[in-house]
Amino acid sequence: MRCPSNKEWISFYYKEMPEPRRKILSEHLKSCGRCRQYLTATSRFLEDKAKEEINLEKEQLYSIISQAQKIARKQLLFPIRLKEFFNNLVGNLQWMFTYHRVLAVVTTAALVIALITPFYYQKDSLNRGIIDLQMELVFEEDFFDFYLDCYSLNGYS
Amino acid sequence: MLIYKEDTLQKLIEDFLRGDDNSFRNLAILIHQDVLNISYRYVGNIEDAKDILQEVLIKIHRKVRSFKRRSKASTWIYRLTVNASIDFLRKKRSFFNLKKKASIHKEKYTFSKDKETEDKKKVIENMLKVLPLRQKNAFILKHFEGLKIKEISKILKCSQSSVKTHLRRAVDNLRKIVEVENEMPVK
Repeated sequence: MRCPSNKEWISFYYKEMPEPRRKILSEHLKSCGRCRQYLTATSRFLEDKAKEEINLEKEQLYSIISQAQKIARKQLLFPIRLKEFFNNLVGNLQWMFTYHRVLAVVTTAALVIALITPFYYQKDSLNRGIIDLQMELVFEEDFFDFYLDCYSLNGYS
Repeated sequence: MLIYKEDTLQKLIEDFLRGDDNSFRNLAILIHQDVLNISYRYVGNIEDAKDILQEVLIKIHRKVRSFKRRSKASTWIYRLTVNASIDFLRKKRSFFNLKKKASIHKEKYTFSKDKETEDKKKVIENMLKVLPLRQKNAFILKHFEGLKIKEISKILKCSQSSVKTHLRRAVDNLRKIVEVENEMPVK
């Protein structure tokens, strides 16, 4: 049997291998000194790593947590990250109502005004369009009468 | 490990979304050990690891409402931690490029018999800094956190085969750098 790759031996060491394949590799180890030596050395190397855990005192941990909460609440509002804000608009407004009611009311009012304003503007601009058209027609009518007068003065009937 | 606390994490996140501030505190207490351990492997000192912990907690607080639960909560938190650690290192410009590492590769480390374990631990911590980023990610999550390859591939957003490759390269690179008393055959 061909020697398995290093990649397979690492998976073998970490027991991240299907059982049938694992059995085949175990059998291979009995007959291949080179692979056996590699696996032994790799296992010894990896097992020597001390898995040190970092411990924090409770006061330090609580201080970090409360500091993180303060910063996160500020960052939610100032500066407002618009894309994040609109991605979850309802959720964010709920949070604002919980912590900053005045600002929440102002933001909601601004959104409502922003939604309604285009419709009013459109109505006004439609009226303006009609008035402009009427003015144009009046101007053309006057011009037509003027042209007729000029025509008759010159002796044309 | 966070994956064993998945149910508790989910419950705390749901309570937090309902507006319970205490649940954020409990969530932070539950995850702080794992976050600190991972970030410590990246930066090598406790003070920076604490800064990264704070950064991760801020991100959880801000982004929990947009957490769409396509992945497990533990996977999400691991991903935030890895990304925060990498961002921190980039800001500190603590990355060593491979050409600079060449001089370190040439050094030979020997261990006194009296303090063998302690010396090896320090050497490995220093050598972790030298590893390329993807190899470092895979090695830290596999060896120090004990996560499965499948979990690591979800956290790092790559295939399982890539994770195995990076892991194998990390182990081989670390072994090449470190010289131990007994000869270690390298294929």
